This record gives sequence, structure tokens and C-alpha cells, in this order.
Amino acid sequence: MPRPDETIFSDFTLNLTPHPVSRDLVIETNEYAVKRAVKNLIFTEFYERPYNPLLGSNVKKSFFEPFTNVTASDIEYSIREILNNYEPRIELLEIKTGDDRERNGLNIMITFRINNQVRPVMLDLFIERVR
Amino acid sequence: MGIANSTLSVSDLGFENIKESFKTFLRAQTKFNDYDFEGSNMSLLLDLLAYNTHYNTYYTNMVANEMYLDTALIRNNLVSRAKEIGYLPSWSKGAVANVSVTVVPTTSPNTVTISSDTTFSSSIDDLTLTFSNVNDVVITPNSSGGYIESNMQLVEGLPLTHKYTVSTSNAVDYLIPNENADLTNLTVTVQESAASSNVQSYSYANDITELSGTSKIYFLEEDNDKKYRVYFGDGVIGRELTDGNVVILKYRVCNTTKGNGVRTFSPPTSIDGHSAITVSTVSVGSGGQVEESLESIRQNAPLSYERQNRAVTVKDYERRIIADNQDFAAVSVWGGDDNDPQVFGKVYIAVKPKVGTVISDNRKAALISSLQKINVLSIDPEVQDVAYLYVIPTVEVNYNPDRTTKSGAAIEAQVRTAISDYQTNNLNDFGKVFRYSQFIKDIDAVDTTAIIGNETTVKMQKRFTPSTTTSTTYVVKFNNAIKDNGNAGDIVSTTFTYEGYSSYLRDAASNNIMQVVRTSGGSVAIVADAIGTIDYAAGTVTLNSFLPTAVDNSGVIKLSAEPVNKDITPVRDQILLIDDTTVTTTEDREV
Repeated sequence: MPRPDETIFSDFTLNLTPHPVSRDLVIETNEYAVKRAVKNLIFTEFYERPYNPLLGSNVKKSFFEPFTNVTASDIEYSIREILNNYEPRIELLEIKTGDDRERNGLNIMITFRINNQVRPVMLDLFIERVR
Repeated sequence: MGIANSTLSVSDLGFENIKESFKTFLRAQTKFNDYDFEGSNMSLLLDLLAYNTHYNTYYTNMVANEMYLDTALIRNNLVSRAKEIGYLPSWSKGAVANVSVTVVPTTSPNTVTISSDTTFSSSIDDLTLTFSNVNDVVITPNSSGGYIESNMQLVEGLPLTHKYTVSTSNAVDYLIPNENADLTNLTVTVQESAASSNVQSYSYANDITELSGTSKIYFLEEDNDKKYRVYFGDGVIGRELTDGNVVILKYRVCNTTKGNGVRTFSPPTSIDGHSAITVSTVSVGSGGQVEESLESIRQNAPLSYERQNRAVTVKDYERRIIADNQDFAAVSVWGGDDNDPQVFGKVYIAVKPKVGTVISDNRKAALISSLQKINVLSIDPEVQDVAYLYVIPTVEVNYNPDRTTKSGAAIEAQVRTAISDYQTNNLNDFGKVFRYSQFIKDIDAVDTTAIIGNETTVKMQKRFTPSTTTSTTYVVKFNNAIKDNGNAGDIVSTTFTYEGYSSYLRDAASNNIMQVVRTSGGSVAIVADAIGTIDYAAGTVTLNSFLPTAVDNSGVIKLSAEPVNKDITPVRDQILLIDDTTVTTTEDREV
């Protein structure tokens, strides 16, 4: 098991902001890097990646469907499928979806465990149509 | 999983390989670890970089390909590369036909003039085609007062004229803005100004070494999209045009190959004011062709550069003729010193057209004329018809019906197809040898399970059309040794009428002589003895003063003989074809 201060996973932030002091790229590590990767995968659509058309999920497309139990199930299935296929660093524990009618959006809560770590990690996503 | 390498590999150009190279490079550092996970930001960046790199390499590759004659795929680029070595691709050509025109005036004029571009229409396959004469034709009355032009050349295509006014301040593109422009008879004239009557004719510059700053010449090049452009000299090489000059381009837009085979022509409503006109065909439309193909340009451009617009060697002639005449399937050229008999000072050319078996006399004359501009002065080109030598196979196929569900007739049909394929793939061109062993092997290969073997004999056959009115000497050359079994009938012909009898030719049992014989009451009677001689070794049959009165088979006598060597070799103007095939099947069951 890694030490808490050990860097296992490291990625840079997608907005490419420099560190305020060192002026280096800001680096996301471990849990945060994995969370970012999970989020990226969920919001990637099929045929979006060059030369890798099968990498993607239907989550974005589901926004245009009426939110029913079937849609919720579809979203959960899509998330489960892409994470199982393309994120080998985690063990998926639970996916919950619920509509937020007041904000016209959808809450997605994903619980997973990073390999070789005990503590589960929760990723809360609120998604809504912006156009 | 690759091994860490701090040197970025740039040898692979595929997207996946490029991305893998990036990953291999990143393995050499510890700052970022997530490059291997597809969801990471690093992976997104690698995708972007790899895609960009791949895009650029693909683009560079395409650009590099288009820069060379060997690899360019876009016609405009290929033509541009060919232009660098002075090669002008051949353009579309309309079919050319010859007609006899008879005009019956109501008065008796001194002459009747058929103006240039007088249209004679014709139709083929529901397509109406326009044929016209290139130059004015002046007909004078013959001894019986008839106005007849017995051999007028018509060219398929719609005559068009374009005019451009020269402006040095605003450069003019003298473009021929039509595809399928037949520029064979392109005329370029320059009018001094729109109001001037001073019109001067310019000629095509095909040899810049003979030009000066005052030469009235034009150049021609293929522009984009199969269109051609005329351009003029700069005052150093060729006369330079001045402001206000009017360039007049006359040419035809043709229907390429569609005019080939046209047989009938309708006359115009009037010629020189006379409306009683009849037209008869002298030679059918031929020579229509599409523009030169990409592969042809790729092949011919360097060859053209190699021969430097001269015809000296045999290969020079062959390449030039094929390049200029897209309707020719094959050409064979040999020097007079290689001819039989030797004729010095001549070069012989045999041409196999893509359609039909021979080219018209007019095409031959045109071919000779085009060659005389580039060949050695003391050499006379002579065009001959292809001398077809027919291979006549008799095939007996033994097959085991227990090994197949096919009938004998079905196997026979397959064998005939195989023989036809053999001809297509192995013969039908100059210099292609009939290989007996390959031939029988191909027959066995039709059905290796059912066919046990085949017994095949081959004869060679020459065909000639004798005169039935004039006694003539014929020299029939097989150019392959004829087998002399010492019996009469080693050489036999098809039948014809001779001195009132249905007869045929055969060789006598001895003395190397030919006889005309007939069958009478089950026996053979000699009609004319020693009508000719045979040189078995050279494969030559000579018939002296031969005069049949009628000939079967549409006037053609077929003379067949068995070759000494079953491999039959064509020489010079000969092409081998397989014909009159006999195929029989015999059941051969295993006991």
C-alpha cells in the first residue's frame, strides 16, 4: 500500500494554469488525477477521440431524453461501461443518478476505490444542458 | 508497453505509432505518470499532438508524392511534372473517315467548293455526330462533267473558334476552355487589331532550336482539368504579341472514340449553293481516342525525353507511335536489314489497332507523314498490316466421369474458355510465342480432379485472299519450319474453284511442290501440278501464277501445316492467334 504522501498518479490540469510561485504547470496527483480522468471519460462522446472511435459514452446524448428510470439506467450503464473499459486504476463501487428538477439538471454520484487504497472516493457531478 | 527512451522516435508515421513514441519518451521522466490512461489530461494532449503530427506527415507524404512523375496521382501535377521534361500529353482525337462526295449542280460551274468545316452528320448508337472537312476542297468537273471528290477526309467534332484580345497590362490566358478538344487541326492566327485585315498564321513550335525572335509560332501545354493553353514567344524565342492583337483559335470538340466505326454520313443541305449531293463512304470512322491516360503519361514522358523527339532506333519508333496513337494496341518495328528479304534504307512498322485487325490506308499514310518529321532523312518508314499466324489446336480431353458431376459438354466448354484465356494472356501481341507445354498444362488445369490428361496437336495456318481475276504469285510465310512427313497433304488448304473444279491446295509427296487437287469418286485427282514450291525449313509456300475463279470462306484461303517445333514463334510483323479450335472429350473410367 502506498504511503499517503507518495505520488502514484500525476497529471497536469487541463486549463494549463501555472503555479503562482514556481510558474510550473500545476500538477494534479493521485485521487485528484484519477477523479479528473473519470470525469474526462464520462464526458467523452463516441468518435470524439482521433483514431479511437469506440472510446466514449452516451451520457451527453442522454441530456436530450426525458428523465425516466430508463434514462437513468442508460446513464449508469454508459458510465459503468466506459470506466470498466478505460479506467483500470479504479474499482467501481456504486453509481447513483437523480434528477434535480429545480435546477433542470442531473446529479450523478460515483463511488469508486482506487487500486491499492482502502478509502472509497466519491465523485459528485451535476450536469445540465447549457444550449 | 515500450521501454523508456528519452529520444523521441520520428520514424513511424501512423497515429498509433506516433502516440506510442510519445509515451515511450514520457516514460523517461517522472513528473507526469498518467500518460498511459485514456481518461487523463495527458492522454488528451498526446492524442492532440499525435493527430497533429500524423496529419502533417500525411500531408507531407502526399505533397512529396505529387512532386514526382513516378508517384503523382493528380493529373494536373503529373502533367506539370511531364512538362518539366518537355512532354505534351496527347489530347482527345475525333474519329477520321473518308468519303466520296458527288455534287450535281443545275448549271455547269467551273468549280464547286466545299468550304472548310462543312458538316456531314452521322449517327451511331442514337448519338448524332458532326463530321467536317478541315480545309476547303475545290472540285473541278471530270471528263464526263461530274463533280466528284472521291476521297475527302472528314474529322469528327464540332468546330469552334475563340478570340482573345492581347493586353500586356492585364495578362490574357489563351485557354482552350473545353475538355475533349481535338487539337490535331488547331489553327492559331493573329489579327493585327480588331479593325485590321492583317491576319497572320502561327505554327506549332516543336523544335525551339530553329526559332528566332520573329518566328510566328505558338506553344501548347495542358492546363488544369484536361484543358489546353496556347502561349506565345517572348521576342527571343518566338514573336511576342503586342497590345490589341487578336488571337483566333480554331479547333474541334470531339466525342473521342464514339465516332469509331461510323459508316454512313448525311450530306449538308447545300454545298456552294448546290443542294443535289450524294455521299458514299470510302473508309469508316477510325482513330478516335480519349486523352492520354495518367499511366501512359507516366510511362511515355521519360521515354520521350530519352528519345529527344527523334526516331532513330527501333524503340524510338515504337514509343513514338504508341505515344501518339492511343488507338493502337501494339506496334512492332524492324529495320530493313532485318527484313526478309533485306531492304536497306527502310524501316518497317506493323500496327495492331485496339479495334479491328488492320488500320486503313489513310491512317498508314498519316502515320508515315508524322514519322517523316522526326526520323533519319535517308530512311523511309513503311507501314504493313499485321500478319496474323493462326494456331489451330485439336484437343482431345480424357476425363473420369466418376470424379465429377460435370458433363463432357461442360468440360469442353471450360476447356474452350481456358484456350481463349491462354490467347488473351499469352498471345495476341507482337513477339508472343505459343508455348505448347504451357498450353496443354492450362488445359489440364481446367479441372485437375476430373481431367486425366489431354492429347493435343497443333497446326499453324496462314490466310490470304487471292485475286479471282488476275493471275498472281503469292508468297505465304509461316516463318516456322513445316513438318515434312514425306506424304502428300502435309500442307492443305480450304476449298476454292479452280479450272471449274472444287479444289484445294496440298503439297506433293516429294519434290517440294504444291498441287491443286480435287476429290473425285473417293480418290484424289490432280487439277494443276507444280503450281508452286515449298521451303519446309523456312516455312514458306510460294504459289506461282495462281488464279482461282471463286473462293469459299468469303474469299479467304486458309493454308494449314504442322510445325516441326510445337512451340510456334512469331517474327517481325506476325501475331499469333488461336482459331478453329477443335475440342472433344472422352470418358476414361478407372477400372
